[in-house]
Amino acid sequence: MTSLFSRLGKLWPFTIKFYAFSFIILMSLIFGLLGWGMQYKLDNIRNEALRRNSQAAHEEIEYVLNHIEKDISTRAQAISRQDETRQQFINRDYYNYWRDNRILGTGSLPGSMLAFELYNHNGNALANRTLAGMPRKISKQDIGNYLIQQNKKYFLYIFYPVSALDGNAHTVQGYIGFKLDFLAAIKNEQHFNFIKSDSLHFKMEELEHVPFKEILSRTEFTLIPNTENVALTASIQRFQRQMLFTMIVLYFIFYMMLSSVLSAPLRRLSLHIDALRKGQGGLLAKNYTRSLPLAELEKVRLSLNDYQNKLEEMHLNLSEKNDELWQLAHHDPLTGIYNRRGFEEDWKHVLSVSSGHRLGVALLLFDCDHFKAINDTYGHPTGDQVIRAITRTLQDTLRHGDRLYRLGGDEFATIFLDVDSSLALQTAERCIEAISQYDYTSLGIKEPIRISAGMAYSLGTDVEQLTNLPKYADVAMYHAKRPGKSKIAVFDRSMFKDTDILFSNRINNLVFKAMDSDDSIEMHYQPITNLETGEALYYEALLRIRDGDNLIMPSTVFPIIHERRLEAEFDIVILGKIAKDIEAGKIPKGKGITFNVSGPGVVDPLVLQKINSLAVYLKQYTLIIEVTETALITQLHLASSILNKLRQTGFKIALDDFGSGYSSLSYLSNMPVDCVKFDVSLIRQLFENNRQSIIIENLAAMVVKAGYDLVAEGVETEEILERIVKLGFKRGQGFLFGRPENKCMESAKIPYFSKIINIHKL
Amino acid sequence: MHLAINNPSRVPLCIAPGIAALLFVFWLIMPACAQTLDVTLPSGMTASASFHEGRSDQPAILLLHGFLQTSHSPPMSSLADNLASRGYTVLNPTITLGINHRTQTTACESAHTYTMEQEVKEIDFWVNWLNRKGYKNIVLGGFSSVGNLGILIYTAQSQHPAIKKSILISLNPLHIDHHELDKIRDGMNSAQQAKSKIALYSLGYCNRDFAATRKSYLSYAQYDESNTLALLQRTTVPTEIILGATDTILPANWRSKIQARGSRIPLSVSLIPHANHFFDGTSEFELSDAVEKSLMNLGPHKS
Repeated sequence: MTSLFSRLGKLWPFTIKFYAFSFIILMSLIFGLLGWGMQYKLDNIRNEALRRNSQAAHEEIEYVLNHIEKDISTRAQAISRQDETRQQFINRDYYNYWRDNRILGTGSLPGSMLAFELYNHNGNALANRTLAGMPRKISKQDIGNYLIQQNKKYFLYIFYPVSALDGNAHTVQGYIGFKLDFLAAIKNEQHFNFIKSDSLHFKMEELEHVPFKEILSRTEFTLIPNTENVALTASIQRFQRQMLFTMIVLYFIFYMMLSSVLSAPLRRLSLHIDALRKGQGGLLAKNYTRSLPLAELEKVRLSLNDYQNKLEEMHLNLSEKNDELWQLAHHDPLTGIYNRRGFEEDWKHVLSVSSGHRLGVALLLFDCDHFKAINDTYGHPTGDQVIRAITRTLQDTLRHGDRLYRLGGDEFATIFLDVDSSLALQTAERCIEAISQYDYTSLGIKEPIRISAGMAYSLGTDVEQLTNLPKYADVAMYHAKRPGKSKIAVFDRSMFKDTDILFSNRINNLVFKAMDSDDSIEMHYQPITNLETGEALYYEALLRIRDGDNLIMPSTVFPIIHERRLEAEFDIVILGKIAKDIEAGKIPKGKGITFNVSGPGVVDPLVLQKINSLAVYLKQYTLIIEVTETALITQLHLASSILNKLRQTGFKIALDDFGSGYSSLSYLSNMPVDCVKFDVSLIRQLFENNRQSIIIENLAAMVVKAGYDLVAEGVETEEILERIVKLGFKRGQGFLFGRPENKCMESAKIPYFSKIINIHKL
Repeated sequence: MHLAINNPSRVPLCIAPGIAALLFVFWLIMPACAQTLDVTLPSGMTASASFHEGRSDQPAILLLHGFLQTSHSPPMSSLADNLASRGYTVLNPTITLGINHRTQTTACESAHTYTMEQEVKEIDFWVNWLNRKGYKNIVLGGFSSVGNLGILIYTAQSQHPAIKKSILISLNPLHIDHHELDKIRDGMNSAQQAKSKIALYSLGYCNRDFAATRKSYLSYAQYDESNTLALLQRTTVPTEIILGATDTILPANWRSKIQARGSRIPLSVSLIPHANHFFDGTSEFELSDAVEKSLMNLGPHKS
């Protein structure tokens, strides 16, 4: 029972069909009970009628038996009273004639009478040969009436005493004997109304003498079906069948009507609502019921359609809003092109369509060089115009249909699908060329604006590479951005060697930890030697981060700083550490200290503030600020202004890594620098017998003539030393003079200087 | 009801004279009541008869019933009662016809073995019975064919001194199929057959269903119309013949034939108007009157 309720509970709420079935079952039960009651009553009536019929049948057969007995008795009496009968006992000469003609031949006896005989008072038959098996002699036990079954036939024997005429009733003159076909006698006697006459039989053994009085109790028969009862039963059963048929038809009609008029429309309504929920539905047609309309359902339909109309209207509005929102979410408001979100979705789509297929996918990242400096120099409105200009230029250069994404700031991306790497590379080169060719003077910008491009390429079949394509493009971009590198870098796995640090959590943690607390920062100092005396003139402060017994070099740290755009913050930390070293006396007084300030740091007020805080040491130390050519170019005017002020304060400015970037003499002439440090790449070029070495020699001569202190980096051999001295270099820095150390060391004693000194002495 | 309860004492007073009157009537009727006699015949059979003893100054009447009838059959039974009521001694026997103690009319189909001769012997027995009773004036009364034939044969054969007259009511000859009779007579060579074989004959009103032995049949069948008339000639006692005027059974011109036949002794024929063969209805009394008149013609007798 509990499980039944729990099963029903699972079906709750019930469907219309369930209620319809329940109703039909309930009605069937009710009609079944009524039918059963009617059948019960009918059975009672039938049984009562059967009982009455049975009783009537018994009375009928009893009446027949009595009547037969009485009839035969009457006939026997009549015969016995006849003179002729009595005469037979006296003279039997003509007994056979009398029996055959006067008794049997008269036709007065019933047809069932098979035989007739007279017996004298001793029981002996008067006939010499009795008829039809009548006994030749009867005994006293035979007197009376009895029934015998012989060969499955029933014979009634009747022996009736004939009294003598002597006045004594007990004196028997003889006996009259009858033999009847009992069943024929019964059938002739009565047309039965309650008994099937053919079914009559008697329960007795063969040749058993059954006294007449016992015949009734041994009578067995089949009742004639009561015609009224049968008719009534048939009528009621017909009525029940008709009722059953009618009920089934009515139930069927009821079910069909319920199903057609209510259930099916409701189901369609439900399906329609489900479809609406899935966004597949429209307005519900008036003929959706496909049957007779129902006012309530029509009202529901109208309400639903109204609701649907309003919903669609709302949905339309919402869709427009969504589109707008999607536009906003996926497009860059400044340029109108797709933003990072748009890129990420498209990238997922590209991954899904190209994974496992032999499709070439190229991802290009573009990054504007020194854009922050442009922003800072010309202001954000100009910066925005630059971004828009870059966007337009890139869009014009890209193939029709290529999507351009602004990932953020000055970073752009585009995806090439189903291309080979050379075509993608050519497109990237065209983009870079187009950007460089753009006339930015219309925007009030005098400096050249360049972009770098990092490209990664993969076939769709290489799913791992394809998945990591953004990261690889980033790595390539990192390489492209590196000073002295081509503006386009195509990813290959060797680049990981340089970029792993970008993705090393441990290094990152150490860098950020150093920024929080400079305890792990160690400043190493490399001497910059006066090439005329061989003595250390000043020391370049170089960053090291202590990691246990190891030191993390700047080549590891600065990519992280640069990638995270933390140059200014890190400059402040380094300046603070140098100040501590000065305070700690780690730097010999009277010597100079040269320290690097990043491009962003040059124009950063906090960095400037920190630099200015070092001005207190200018009386005891020569403080030289090293800035890179690249950093100055991007914000030339601002940087120049700031550097001029610093020079006025007493700081000296050194242009670091000259030759690794633009190496523009035009720019150099406009830069407020005191010292130019030739990059090691230029120094090495001096030993190449080519045109470039001649240019570098002349360049060095021009710089010197222009009045700049010229410092050669990468002086590692005396051969280099001699060469640069000949070229007019006054300062030299390199392993030949000394490696960076935790403390300021004197320059190494080099024989060359002894010879020079001796010459000068001579 | 209330009145009967309130006057119960008056009832005995009212019925007493009535009871006395009834007893008187019974006393008057008593002589007219016949007694039934069962008499053993010389043949050993029992014959029954009704007997009424009348006044001694009147003749005794022996009435003989018709063919296969009994003493209870009309018109002889009613005639016997009427005569008895008028003071005549009446003996009305039932001829046994070979049936012991016959009391019922015998059917044509019954096996008839009895002969006319045996019937005549029974008449003789009853005449003698009356005679032994002291009746010296006996009138024989017969009915129809056989009853009258028996009387005619008896009176033709013997001359019993007590028989003073015979009254033959509705005398008619037995109807006989002469063709049949001739055939039977031709076949009588076989005595055995004649004795035992029962066959059907036409005799009297038994039309082809008179079951009888040949002997029995021939004993009756020999008395056809001419033999009957011949017997009338040979009778030895005065004879009066009473016929119904509308008796359709009688042969044509029967009365004329009777009268034409004539007799050595007085023979008269009287006709009762409107009477049929059986003198039904009121003819019954006219018959009685005619018989009584015939008896009165005998004059006073001392039995």
